Amino acid sequence: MYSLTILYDARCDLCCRIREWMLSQTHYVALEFIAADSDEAKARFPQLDHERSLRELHVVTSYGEVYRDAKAWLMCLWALREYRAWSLRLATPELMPLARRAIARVSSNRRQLARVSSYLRD
Amino acid sequence: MDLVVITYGLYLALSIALTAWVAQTLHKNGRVFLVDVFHGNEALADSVNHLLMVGFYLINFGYITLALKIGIEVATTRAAIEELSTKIGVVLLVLGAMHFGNLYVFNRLRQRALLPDAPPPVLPDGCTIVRDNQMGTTVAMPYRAA
Repeated sequence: MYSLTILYDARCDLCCRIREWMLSQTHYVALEFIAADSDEAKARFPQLDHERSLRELHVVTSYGEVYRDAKAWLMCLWALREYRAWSLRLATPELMPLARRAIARVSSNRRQLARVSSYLRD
Repeated sequence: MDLVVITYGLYLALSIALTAWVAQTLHKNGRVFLVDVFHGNEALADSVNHLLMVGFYLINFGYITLALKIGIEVATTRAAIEELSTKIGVVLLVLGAMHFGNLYVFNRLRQRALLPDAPPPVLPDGCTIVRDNQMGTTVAMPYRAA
């Protein structure tokens, strides 16, 4: 069965919340979440640069295809029923650079964003 | 008979015939789209097709009856033909707009139906060896359409 393994930053509050949100959504493909740079991730994907997977989101398919950073985010959207159309739209040459920039900004500020969002929630 | 009444009669006959022709064309050729959208469920496709046609008829007949009135005095045959031509022209444009609107709806439905089989939006950055899941992490199973 085709599945996506998402290597997420387990120490990042925002990433954990996005994980919960993704699992609550209807998805077209099987999803598996593994903490990046964990023993399990190293056992499952021995060749992968695990140091790097902490800095950028990594998605690995059951066939071993690796998607990094913006592409990994698009793969996450593609897996969800309600957002698949968006992933296809964002992957077009016109919107991909924009998506890349937005994702880079969110990724590099994810700890601050998590603080803001938890502040807003309380 | 009054020239205006004859114009009204011709206008109604022509407009209704044109509407019926467009509606039948949509009904006949839209079916194959809808069968594809509903994954071969022909009963559902026929039902939606019929409902779309009813809506099409209602909107067009509604417009035709509302636009019937001729505001000016029709004294000559020439004026009657000109007035008829204007009215039929507008009806044709309305029918055209409705027709393209319908095609747009069909196409949107079809594109949505194709989404579950859409390939990934981007090419992978590389490949890696994947070992079996021996630690037994949970895999969230995908949704399956009934």
